[in-house]
Amino acid sequence: MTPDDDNDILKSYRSAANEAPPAAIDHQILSAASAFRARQRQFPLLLGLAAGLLIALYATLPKFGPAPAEPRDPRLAQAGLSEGRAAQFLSNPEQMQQSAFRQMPGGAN
Amino acid sequence: MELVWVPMQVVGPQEHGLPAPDDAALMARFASGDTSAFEQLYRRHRAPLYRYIVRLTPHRADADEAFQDVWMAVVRGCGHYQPSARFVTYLYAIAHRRVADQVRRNKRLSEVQIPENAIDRQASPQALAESAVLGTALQAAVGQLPLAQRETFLLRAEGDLSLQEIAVVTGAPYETVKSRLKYANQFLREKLGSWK
Repeated sequence: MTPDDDNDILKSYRSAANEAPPAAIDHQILSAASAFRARQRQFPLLLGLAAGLLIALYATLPKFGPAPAEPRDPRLAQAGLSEGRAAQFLSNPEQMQQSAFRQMPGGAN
Repeated sequence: MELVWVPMQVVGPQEHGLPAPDDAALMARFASGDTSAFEQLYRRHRAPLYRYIVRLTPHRADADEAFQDVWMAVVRGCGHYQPSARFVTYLYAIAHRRVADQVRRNKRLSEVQIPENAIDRQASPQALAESAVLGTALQAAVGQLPLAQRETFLLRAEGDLSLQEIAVVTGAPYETVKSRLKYANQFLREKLGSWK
């Protein structure tokens, strides 16, 4: 067995090896390759369009949200009192004074 | 002065007498978006690769599917391809994995379909002496090889891969590849001898 014998075998084999894929398969593969490259080229453009659309939507939609909270009374925060009735009370100095008088000994009359 | 519009004829490098671009250059051009480069690459390697897959796969439908899968893997991987080895090594490595998956799935290592009229023992000595008939008979004999030897022979005969490249594609040691090819050639030579 010599390398020449092996080469003769290869030559004999290749001389008769003429089978090729069908034309339909050629067409499918080449079309798929073209379509793949076309999608690759379009992807950055589509991504940019989608981002632009999102930004535009965000900028134009009306803003919905909870009503802004009323400013907190610092005095209430220090005392730890609830804001409801106590806030109303503190906002009315006359009422506060009368309440103080009532609480004094003999002041309820 | 009157201007005349003349359509420009697109002429390839071969018409200019320039050498054809190599496989790595074609892959690089395809990765850049030149689909005609892929077509050149495809037409260059389609027939040997098809024969490699067909001779390793029992059913033609499976072979056709595997063939398409291999090329689609090449297309999808064009952006990641690095020409650290020859393109054919890369191509047949993909094909080897695909065929191995199919063999595992089918779990049938039977001989491939022998072409019709491949073995005609009634033919006259003159007919047998013709290399075309001998070549056809040889192809049939290839189908009788054990799978590993058959694949090694086909990578050599169809892909024109070196022993080292076959070792890379199949993942087998160099010496194993060498002995597989030796036994394959020995078997085929014995088959050829029975025709003489």
